[in-house]
Amino acid sequence: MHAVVLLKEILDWELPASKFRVDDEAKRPPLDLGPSLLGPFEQNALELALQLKDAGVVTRVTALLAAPGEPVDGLRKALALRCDEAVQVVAEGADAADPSQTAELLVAALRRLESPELVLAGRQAGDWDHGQVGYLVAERLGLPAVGLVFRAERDGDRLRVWRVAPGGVEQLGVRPPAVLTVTSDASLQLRMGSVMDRMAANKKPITRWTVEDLGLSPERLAAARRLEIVRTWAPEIERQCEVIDGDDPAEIVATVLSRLEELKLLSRSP
Amino acid sequence: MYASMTVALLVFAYGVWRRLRIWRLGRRQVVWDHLGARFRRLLAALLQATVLRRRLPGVMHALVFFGFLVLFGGTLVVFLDSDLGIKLNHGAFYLGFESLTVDLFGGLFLLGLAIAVYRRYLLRPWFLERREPSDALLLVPLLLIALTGFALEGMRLAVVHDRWGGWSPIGLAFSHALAPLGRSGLRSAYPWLWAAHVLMWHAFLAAIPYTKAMHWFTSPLNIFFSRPVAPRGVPAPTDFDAEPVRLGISAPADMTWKQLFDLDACTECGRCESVCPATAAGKPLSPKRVILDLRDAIRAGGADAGPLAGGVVLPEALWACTTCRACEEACPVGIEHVSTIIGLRQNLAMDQVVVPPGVAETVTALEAREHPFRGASSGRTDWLEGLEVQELDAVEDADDLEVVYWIGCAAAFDERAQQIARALVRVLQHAGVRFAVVASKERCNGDVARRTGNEFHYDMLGNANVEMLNGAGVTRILTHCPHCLQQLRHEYRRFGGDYEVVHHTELVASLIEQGRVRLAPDAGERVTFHDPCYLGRYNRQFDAPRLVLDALKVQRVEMARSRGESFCCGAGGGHAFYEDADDGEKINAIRAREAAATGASTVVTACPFCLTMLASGARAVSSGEQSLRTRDVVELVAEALAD
Repeated sequence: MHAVVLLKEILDWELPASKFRVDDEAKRPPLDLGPSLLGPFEQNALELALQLKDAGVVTRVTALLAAPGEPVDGLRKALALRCDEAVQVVAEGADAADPSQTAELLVAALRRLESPELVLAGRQAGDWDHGQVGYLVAERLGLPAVGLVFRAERDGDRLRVWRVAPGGVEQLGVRPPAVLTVTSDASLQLRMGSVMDRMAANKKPITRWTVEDLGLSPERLAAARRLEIVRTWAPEIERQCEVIDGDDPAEIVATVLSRLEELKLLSRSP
Repeated sequence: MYASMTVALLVFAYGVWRRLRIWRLGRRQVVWDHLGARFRRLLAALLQATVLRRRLPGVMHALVFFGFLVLFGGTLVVFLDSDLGIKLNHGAFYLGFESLTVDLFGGLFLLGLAIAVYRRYLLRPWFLERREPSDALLLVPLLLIALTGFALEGMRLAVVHDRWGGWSPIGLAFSHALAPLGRSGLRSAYPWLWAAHVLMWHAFLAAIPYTKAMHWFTSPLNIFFSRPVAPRGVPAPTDFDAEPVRLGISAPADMTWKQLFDLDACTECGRCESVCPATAAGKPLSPKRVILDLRDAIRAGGADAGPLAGGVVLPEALWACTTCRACEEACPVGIEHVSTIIGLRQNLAMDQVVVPPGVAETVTALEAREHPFRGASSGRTDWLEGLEVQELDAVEDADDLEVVYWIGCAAAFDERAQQIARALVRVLQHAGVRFAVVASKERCNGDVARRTGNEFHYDMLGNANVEMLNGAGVTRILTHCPHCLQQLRHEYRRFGGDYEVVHHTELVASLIEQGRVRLAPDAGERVTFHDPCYLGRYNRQFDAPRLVLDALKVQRVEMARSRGESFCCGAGGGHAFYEDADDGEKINAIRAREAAATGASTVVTACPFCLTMLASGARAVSSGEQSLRTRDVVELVAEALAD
C-alpha cells in the first residue's frame, strides 16, 4: 500500500509570547519571527505512516508538502526517517492559511502521484488550527475520512483505526483508499533517525512541482480560495502583581482565598 | 633450572603476544605528548602515591610492591653473583642488602599479602567482587613462593650455623622453627624445596599474561599512556567524511588501542565503582563492569566481539553515566572510562538510535532551535531587560573589551540561572570591567549533544559557534557555566576555536585580589561548596571558588567528598535533559544530604545545572523547617558588594 503524508511547516510554536507579533497589513505574523518547523500533528501523522511501514501494512511512504520557496525542515526530515519520496508543490501565489486553496493544490498533486491508497494528515496545522485540509482532500477525492486517529492496524482488507472520541476511544474499520487525520499520542512522538540515514537524505532528491506542472491555472487556484482574514491580532497580556505579606501562614492563606473569591477566580462550596 | 625458565618465558611471551594482538586491533591514539607530565604521573604511581589515596589497600599494595621489588633484586644479585660470576655478595653489601634488607622486605611482602587476604576474604568491601579462582591464583602462589624462600633461608642458617644469621632475623626465626627436623633431614630436603621454590616462581611468571598479575606491566604503561592534562574525558572525534563513517564504538576496531589497553590494565580493585554516582544511586551502571565486560567479550571474541554498544554493555548502563569522571579520578591505573562510554553511546545514538525519550527530544530541540531547553518561556535575550549591557554586535572593536561574556543556554532560558547572569553582570559593572555579551548570536555549546553521543549535532553547533566567535574577533571569553567552559576552552580547538576562557569564579577571584571588587560582607554564614565536575575534575579549578567564599568571610565547611573526589549533582552527560529508565535513587538527593550533613545553611556551587539539581535535591531531603539554600558563588558576591 502506498501512503502519502501531508506535511506543513509552521512558525515555531515555542516562540515566547514576548516575541510574538502580527504584521497588521499582511494580517499574519511576519515570516522572520522564528524558524519554520514541521508542525507537531504532521509529525504525528508522519510517525504513524512510518509505523505502518515498519509493520508491513504500508510499502511506500511519500511526503507531500505545499509551500512557496524552499522549505528545509519537513521534507528533509521525512527523507532522513526513510520516507521513500519527498514532493513539494511550489505554492507560489497561494495562501497557506486558506484550507480550501491548500487542499486544491494537494489534491492535484495526489492525483499525479501513483495511486496513493492512504492519505495521512495532521488533525490540524498548529498555526491556524483550521483542521479542514484532511477532510477537504477526502471530499474532493471522493474518499472516506476518519479524524483524530492515533493508531491503525491491518484488519483483512481493511484498516482498523483507533480514534479519540468524546470521553473515550472509538474503533472503526475503514477500507482503503481513505484519508486519516492524525492526533497526538505518546506513541506517535516522531522518531529520531540515524546519522547514516540523515547523511543519505541530504543526497536524495526532492521532487518539486509548480502550480503549472499540476495543470492548475491561476484562475482555478484563485477560485479555490475561500478564506478572507478580516483581522489578526495578538492578545494583550496584562500582568498585575499583588504581594500578600504576613507572618502567620494560616492568615496568609485566608487572605489569598478571600482575594481569589473577590476576583471571582474561586468559589467556596457551601 | 634454565630449561624451566626458558619454557616459562616462552609461555609468557605467547601470552603477551595474544594481548598485543588485541591492542593492535585499535585505532591510532597519540600518547607521546606532554612527556614531562606523563613521567611525573608514572613516577608518582611507582612511588605508590596513587594507590595510597586509600589507606588499607594502599598500604597493602605498597608493602607487596616494594617487598617484591627488593626480593626480586635479591634474586637478581644471586643470579649475577653465582651464575654470571659478578661477585657482589660479600662484606657489607651482603649483610646490609642481601641479608638484612631482603629479609625485612620479605617480611613486609608477607605482611602485605596477609592484609590482602584479610581484606579480600574477611573484610570483603562490597566493591571488591570475588572472582575465583583468579584471585586465589594470584595470592596463594605468591604466599607460597615467599614462605618457601624464607624456609630455604632458615634451612641454610640451621645447617651452616651462620654466625651472621642475626642479619636475617626472619630467616633466623624460620631456622629455629625448622631445627627440630635435624641437620641431615634439612640437608636432604633443601634441594627439593629449592626446586619447588624455583618451579613455582617460573610457573607464576609464565601465568602472568593470563592473570591479573599482568597489571605489573600494563598498569604502569597505562598510567603513562593516559592523558596527563586537560582536556580529559573527551570522546574521540568522528570523521563524517570518512568512507565508511565510523559511528561510535560497535566493534573492537572502533576503539583506540589505548581504550583496548585500558581493559588489560584493570586490576578489578573496584575503586571506580565505589565512587560512581550512578552505582551509588542504584542505577544499572558500574564503570568496573563496563571495563571488565568489554575485556572478557573481546578476549573471547577478538576482532569479531560485539556488538559492544547495547550488546556487551547494555543501553541502560551506558545512559546512566553522568560523565562526572569520578571513576577516572579514583582509578589508580589511569583507565579512561568516560571516553569509552561516550564512544559506546555514540553508536547507540547515531547508528542504532537507541536513546532515552528525553535525549531524542533534546536533540530535536537542538536541531530546531539550537538550544536544549524545551518549552522555553523566554527568549535568549529576555534576561538582559533592564540591564545596561552592550551586545557584541554593537561593539566596534572586540580588542577594546576585557572579556566577552558567553551566557550559555541555561541562563538564557532558565529563570533561576538568569539570576546568576544578572548577579555576574552587577559584579562586572561594579568592578568596571569592559565587557559585552554574545547573547543573541549564541547557540548551544553542544556539550549535551556530544555527551549523549550525538556527535553529528555537536559538530554542527561547534562549527557554527566558532565561525561566529572568530568572525567577531573574540579572543577572551568569560562564562559562568563549566560546560560552556569545557567546550570553549578545550573542545572547540578542533573547529579552529582558540580562546582564552575564564570561568566566572576565576575572574571574580582575581578581581577581588586586585581590589576591583570591594566587599562588605555580613560575616558568619555557614556554607559548603559543591565542586562542579566540569570545573573541578575536568578543569582542575578547585581553589578559585573557595578563595571567593573566603573573601566573603563566610564560615566555609567541606563536605565529606569534595574537590577531586566531589560527588556529581546528577546533571552531567546530558542528564539535565533526560531521566534514566530505571530511575533508582536520585543522585542529587544523595548530594544534598551530604551538603546538609555539614550543618551548612547554604550550599554554594558554580554551575547552573548543579544549582538546579542541588535545589531540587535539597527540597527532596529537607525536613520541614531545615531547608538548605542553594546559591551560585557570584550571587553571594553580588549580595555583599560594598556600595
